[in-house]
Amino acid sequence: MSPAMQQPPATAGSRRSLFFILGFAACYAVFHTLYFMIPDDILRERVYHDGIVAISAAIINFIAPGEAVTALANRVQSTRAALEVVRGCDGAGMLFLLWAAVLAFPASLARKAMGLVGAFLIIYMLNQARIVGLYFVVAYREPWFIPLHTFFVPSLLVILGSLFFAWWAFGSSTLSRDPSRAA
Amino acid sequence: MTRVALRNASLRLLLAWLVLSIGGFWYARPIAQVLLPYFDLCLHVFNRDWQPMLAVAREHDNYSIHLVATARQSIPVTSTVAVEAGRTITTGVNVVHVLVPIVVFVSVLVAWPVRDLRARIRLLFFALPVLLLVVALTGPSVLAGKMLIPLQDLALAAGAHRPEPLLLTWMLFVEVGGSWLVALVAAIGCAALAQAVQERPARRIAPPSWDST
Repeated sequence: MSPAMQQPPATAGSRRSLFFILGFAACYAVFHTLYFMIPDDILRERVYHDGIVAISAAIINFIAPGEAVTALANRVQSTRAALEVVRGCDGAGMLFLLWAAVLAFPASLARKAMGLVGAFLIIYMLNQARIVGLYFVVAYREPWFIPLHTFFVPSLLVILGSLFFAWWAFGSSTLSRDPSRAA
Repeated sequence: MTRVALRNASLRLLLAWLVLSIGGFWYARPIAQVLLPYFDLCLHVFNRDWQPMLAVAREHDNYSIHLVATARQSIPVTSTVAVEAGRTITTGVNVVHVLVPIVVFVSVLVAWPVRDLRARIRLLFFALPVLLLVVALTGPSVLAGKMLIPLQDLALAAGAHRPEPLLLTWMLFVEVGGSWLVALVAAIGCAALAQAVQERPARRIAPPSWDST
């Protein structure tokens, strides 16, 4: 019997939790540092415009053509409202949390790749929905903006992200116990 | 963990978020009043050069924690520029924004699957001191970091480079998503600690030996 197998389950579980927490925090810190190395103008002119704002404007115009929204650099604007996407409001923090958790969790490489892609897609879609929704809030229910933007929506995104991770981790653990289910 | 247990935990998480969010929004003002002395204590620890004065202020339909910090003595900003003693800096933070990591932390702990009620109580017992740490690392540290922005601007206006203070770096980290990381790490750490205590092997007390050697 190897020394690791002689450990009581509680100790092994605690050690796994500790490694996960440390890995989670370290991966997040790396992503955060890399994110802050990207110059503001590249984010504003390219990433936010092409990746977020232009698509949000198209979605808003599709839902409500009367809004006649335009995408200008990092702004979604119309005659009713203007919404600016800035660093920190782009879903990056939430994406980094999920990516860090997926990388820190013990799972196969294929499963991790699936988790990383899934996390990106879900956060991207949620963030687009958030921006489109916030546009309509600014346009029609302006007093709701602060509580929604600073409290309800961010906390809900973290909760939804946590659920995504919990189910992904559950699937990964089930597969590692029963590889025949992998197909 | 079974699929049913995870489904139940997921529902508890959503329900906890809903109840805590509505409660936090509804009772933002009294919660902020309760937090003020602790914020004050934290600000004294974080930045001893400044005397903080905190108040809960209403701005339109939202409440914010309003900080007026007064320089206790002359504070050097660059080699040639200093903030005179008695000068004040005003900043603030939205109350509900401060509550986000608290809501996340408590929601995760309420949802965390445990064996029985005793385990849940043990988990929440561990959570109380950790919650204080979560609050200190998020709300007051954001205020302490925001306070330093005018000093950076002052140095910039004087054409000098001022290294970014650690509190300002931390504030940026917290504001971009670090507060969620702090809340989640604290919650997972709490749960792991409570589980380790619950499952630790019972210590065997050796009977006294009467043999003399």
